[in-house]
Amino acid sequence: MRFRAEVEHANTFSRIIQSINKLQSRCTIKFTEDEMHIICLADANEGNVQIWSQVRIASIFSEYRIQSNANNNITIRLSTDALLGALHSVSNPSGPLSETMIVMKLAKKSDQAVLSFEITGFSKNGKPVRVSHDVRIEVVRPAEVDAMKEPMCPEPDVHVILPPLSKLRTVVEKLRSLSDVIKFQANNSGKLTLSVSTDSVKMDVDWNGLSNPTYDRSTSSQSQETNPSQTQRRDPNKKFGILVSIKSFLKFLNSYVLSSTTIACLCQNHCLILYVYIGEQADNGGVLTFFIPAMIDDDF
Amino acid sequence: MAEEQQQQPMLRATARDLRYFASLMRGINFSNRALIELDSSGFVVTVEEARSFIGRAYVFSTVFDAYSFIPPQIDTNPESDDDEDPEEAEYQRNREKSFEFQLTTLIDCLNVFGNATSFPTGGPTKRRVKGWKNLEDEQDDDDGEDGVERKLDNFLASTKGAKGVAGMRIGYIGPGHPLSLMIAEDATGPTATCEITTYEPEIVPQFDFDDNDSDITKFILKSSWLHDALSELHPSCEKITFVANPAPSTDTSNRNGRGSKVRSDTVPRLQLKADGTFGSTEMDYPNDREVLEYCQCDRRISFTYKASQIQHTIKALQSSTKTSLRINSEGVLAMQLMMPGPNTKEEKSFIDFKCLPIDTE
Repeated sequence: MRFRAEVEHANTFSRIIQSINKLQSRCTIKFTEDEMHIICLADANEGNVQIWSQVRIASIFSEYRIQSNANNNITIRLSTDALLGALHSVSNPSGPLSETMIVMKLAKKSDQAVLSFEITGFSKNGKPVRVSHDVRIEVVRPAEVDAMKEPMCPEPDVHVILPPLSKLRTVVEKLRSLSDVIKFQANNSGKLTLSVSTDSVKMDVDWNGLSNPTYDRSTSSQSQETNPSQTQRRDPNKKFGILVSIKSFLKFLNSYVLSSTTIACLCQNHCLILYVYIGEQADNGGVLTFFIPAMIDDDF
Repeated sequence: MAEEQQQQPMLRATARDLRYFASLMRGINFSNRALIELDSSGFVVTVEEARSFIGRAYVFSTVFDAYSFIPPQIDTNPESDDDEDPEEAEYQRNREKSFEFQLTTLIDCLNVFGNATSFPTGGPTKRRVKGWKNLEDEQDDDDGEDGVERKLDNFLASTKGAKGVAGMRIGYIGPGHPLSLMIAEDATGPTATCEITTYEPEIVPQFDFDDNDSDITKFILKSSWLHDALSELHPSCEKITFVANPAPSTDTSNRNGRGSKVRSDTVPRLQLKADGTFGSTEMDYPNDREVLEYCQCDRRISFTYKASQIQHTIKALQSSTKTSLRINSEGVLAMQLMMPGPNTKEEKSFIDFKCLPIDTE
């Protein structure tokens, strides 16, 4: 197994990991020849939220070399905190180093597999500095990798581009003090409603004029089987809704640090799928996909 | 009657800037259950704790840009006088136009876009460094910042709505209906619609307090002086004693006791003493016109109150400009806090606290 890459966009990398860090402390990363897949399975967090993402190698790394017996794929499991620590020392522009270069490689140190980050740069007074971070990893066997399956979802009822996540987050945080469950409703004519309903208050927050993208398979995750013609034949004003845990939804909203286009796909009474695009949607740099399961309520 | 009210809601009010209203509500947010009494000139929100502490926010219609109240009886003239009604009918009418609701829920709703708390801007740290100013200039100044800047802010907020400021519309159809609230930042942004459950009103205790009582001790001072004093207190302290002293018999009270010589041999007119498990604190307000704008005290009095209750006034003090502090012969403490409103020329809303003393013996 050989693996070596230069981390060119440490900022992006660190933001992706930050978005995940709040959800769970360990994640699985699968490196293939042209993509990096970050996977968080539902068993490690309380809200059963899953993240499946693919990031194009070129949008973060350069000088990327990978070799293994399993189709040149390498899958590792590591602590997000440790990875974030390694990236933070360079991604921070006011940090101690300037003109940094990070080389990430797989290594073995005293019988322990590590992902080693070699950081070279210059200190504030212009002296060359070398920092090395070793993040302890666990290499996942190919059989285990094959057993991991992305959740199967029915064809979504609505696709809607969400308002800026940072704004959404403020609202949802306020709603959290009122209720534990949030109702996420959207229709195919650009309307999104977040609501809570308890004995003491009913509250709806509405956004209008959002866009409903027609599904573009090329940028989506592979399990979605949709064709655009089906989306179009629906009544655009019919509202579809789903109940999700506010806590889980807020965990997804931590990805506001990526501050990019986010598309929400709603499978009524099944799950909410959220695609957070890395960089501009057109760049096709990658996407983080969050699966938030629905809470089933008889009254709903 | 209910059918007719469907047509015309009892209360309808809109404000382009909800922060004034939100700061009034936050000022009395020490207990969740609040009673609201509607009237044509505005409404009063009352919160009480342990039958010994009452906070009332007088929200005048001037806080809103538009305010309409239609009394529960079908009345052609909403301004008509109720005085001639028999007592029973009057009571019934008062019940009709009052209801209870959960105050924290209302405050959470007002702040749903996270911009209801941005007012006032000046925190207590800013106040502390504020120099003395002419009180006339200070009158319109609602926080520790430069008066001119503040006025400009007020102007901007009241004319076209400053950026990031949310507007609101509040409505109440009548008994049995929820309190409805609509909040929007601007025409393109999101809107929030809330329905806050209302409850039947319960009787709130009234403390007898006659402002015209001859034996009343009264101080008027800038709210920041009281706010700073109360925020210095250690949270462990249990009791606060208010001590007021009459003016010294000599004519020193007429002088502005600026000089240290005068101050050292005059007794402080107002003293706050706090006692707790970790010791005690004493704070003196000297006999200085610039500290105590107005003093009326004929004999020495000393009354003790529960510190936790006095501390409830902190949030309101923080956003208010001036405080009138009165204690009657039975020791009932009444604090009236003037609150800034969107229009400085008009009548200001205020928050009123009344607190019963505790027996020290």
